[in-house]
Amino acid sequence: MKGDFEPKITAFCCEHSGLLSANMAVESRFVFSNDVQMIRVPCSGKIEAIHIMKALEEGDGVAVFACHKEACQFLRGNLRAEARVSSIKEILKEIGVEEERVQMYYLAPSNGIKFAQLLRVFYENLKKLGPNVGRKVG
Amino acid sequence: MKDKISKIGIFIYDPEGNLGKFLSVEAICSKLSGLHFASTVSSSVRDEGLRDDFEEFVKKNKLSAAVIAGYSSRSNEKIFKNSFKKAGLNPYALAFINLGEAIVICGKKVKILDRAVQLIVRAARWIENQGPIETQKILLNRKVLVLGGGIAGIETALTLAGGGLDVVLVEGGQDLGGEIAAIEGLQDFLGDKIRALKKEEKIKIISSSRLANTGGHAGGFIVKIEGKDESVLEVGAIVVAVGYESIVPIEELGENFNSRVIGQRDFEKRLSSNDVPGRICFLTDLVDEDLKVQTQALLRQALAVKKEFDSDVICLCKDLKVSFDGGEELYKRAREAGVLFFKYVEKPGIKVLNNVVEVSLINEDYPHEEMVFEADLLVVGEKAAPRKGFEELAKLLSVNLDSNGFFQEDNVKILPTKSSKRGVFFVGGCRLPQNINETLTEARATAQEILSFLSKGEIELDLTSAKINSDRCVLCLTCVRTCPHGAIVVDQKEETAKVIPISCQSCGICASECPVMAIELPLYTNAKVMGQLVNSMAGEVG
Ligand code: SF4
Ligand code: SF4
Repeated sequence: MKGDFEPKITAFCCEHSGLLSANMAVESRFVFSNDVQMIRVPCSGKIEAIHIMKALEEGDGVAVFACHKEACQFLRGNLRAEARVSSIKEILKEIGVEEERVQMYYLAPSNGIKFAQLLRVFYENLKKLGPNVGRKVG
Repeated sequence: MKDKISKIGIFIYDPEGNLGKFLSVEAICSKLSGLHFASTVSSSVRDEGLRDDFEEFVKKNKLSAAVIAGYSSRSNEKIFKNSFKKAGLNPYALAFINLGEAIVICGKKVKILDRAVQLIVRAARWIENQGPIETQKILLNRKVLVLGGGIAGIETALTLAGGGLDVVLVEGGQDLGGEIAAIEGLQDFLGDKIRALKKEEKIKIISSSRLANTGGHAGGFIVKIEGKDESVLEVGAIVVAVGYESIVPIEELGENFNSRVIGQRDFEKRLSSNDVPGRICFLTDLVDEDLKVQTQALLRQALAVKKEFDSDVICLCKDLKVSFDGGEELYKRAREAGVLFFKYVEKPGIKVLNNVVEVSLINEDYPHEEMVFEADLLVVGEKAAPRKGFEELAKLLSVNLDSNGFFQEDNVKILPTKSSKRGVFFVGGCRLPQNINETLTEARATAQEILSFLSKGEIELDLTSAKINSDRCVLCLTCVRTCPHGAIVVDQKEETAKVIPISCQSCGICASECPVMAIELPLYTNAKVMGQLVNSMAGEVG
């Protein structure tokens, strides 16, 4: 049964790194995952906790793609995102959902290969974890 | 509701037929029409053809919003936006997607075709309620404040004045010229520049003064200058062109810092007064292993002593950074003239005995034997340090310093001299130590950027900036503190935080930090993002 399971992933992509890398991955036709929805945001700092929780309610995993630590277009947006992701991980632990379902990744602006690889690994991990118990039914 | 959806058009373009290789465009269209979307396919190769096809499609279907779907992410957004504007429609009600995505994100459960339709529907949802974005006219003051009368400030001022803007140049000290005034062989060059500056009517020079206060925003900063006289001016842009401090790394030298050991700048003075002994040893890279200016000064000085005084010259360095203009050449000339270079890995030992400096080091090529050099003078490479006033100045301008205490550019990749605050620029050594040619290029490029920004005298701004709901705001100041662009101020009268549209860069950080959710980004409203996250959207397939 587990082999059939297709995790649904939401990938938040910051316009300055994640999105550009995603575009590159798409252009180069790297197949990265079977069910992923990419959501574009102006900066990873714009991703609110509620957005991540909502995405988890609707799917199996959330990946946040931000610029490298020192290279955030908006200086500190990625650090804010990171803080938010780690506080969400804490909440998940408390409510009994695997914290690995939310992952933060740092990317250079045009690294299609890395983007595809990271998503692939994330996808495989989620597959191992199985369906998200926190996911809304119906 | 149905009526509304039909106003959204889906424009698929596939000039090379690439999309058609993977999925049937006709099948997409028929699925879409089942969902009450108007759709069309264009295979025009040329931009004009694409534009004509699109305009006809818009007119025929009385569209108010459209999704442009291509096979690549490099769609020519401008064409479509212009057509929309021309038709009096809202260009923000356009969404651009790459159907190539459907090809890489599909699988056993979801077929390419369904995925493509899903992508289109999601994009349509994203824009379906996108209201028009208001605009605001902002007057731009055509005067520029330049802080710092070194070569960076001088060149910026000259270029700005040449382009027709008024300039106020404020120098902290008495004299113009800054660091390079002390460098051999540059006096004439500098003299010419200063004369040109003083002759230029559009430039006003205020010396022995400093910036005491700032308010306002790009296009209309209110600045207060303090010094002999006090004045308040309105300027459209501010250029920080103050220099860094060059200091001898005393801590690294320990107790050996005496009259036989001097810094590069003091040696410059000895050079001009012909006070040069017979044996000189240069030692660089004690700190700041990345400093090109240090290597450049080293090569220039070593070559000068060798040629003019025929001293014995030995250079001890960790790494020669010759990646500046003419660096390789300079190094070659120094070697040819007889300057000796040795590389060290571990910090050399320095002793001063009977007025003779003894430097000992282990060379990589002969690791078993210590090499000892004797010299009458040891010249030490200097390190760059931020000036004392940097912190205060950064605070006044609400811009950032980097971890080393230098002014931090917003994005090195775009225009390195742009600060995080719109209308404020950093040029020259306040950002990073650099050589004169680099500084000149940077000064001119920055001046050009400012010219193209201010010359029009006014701009029409699309208000895509963050908006604060004043009824909700509890003045906790979180947004004021977290905005990386200093774009939020407190409106005391109305008791609310307020965004200054021209300074806001629509990153949305404030919106996600506000504890009472009083801030929205017009193009990324909470409702829009949440809408994208819901699985079961009406009309969604797959
Ligand atoms: S964070 Fe929100 S509540 Fe606090 S000052 Fe800003 S707008 Fe007002
Ligand atoms: S959107 Fe970004 S730049 Fe604009 S006010 Fe908010 S934090 Fe500042």
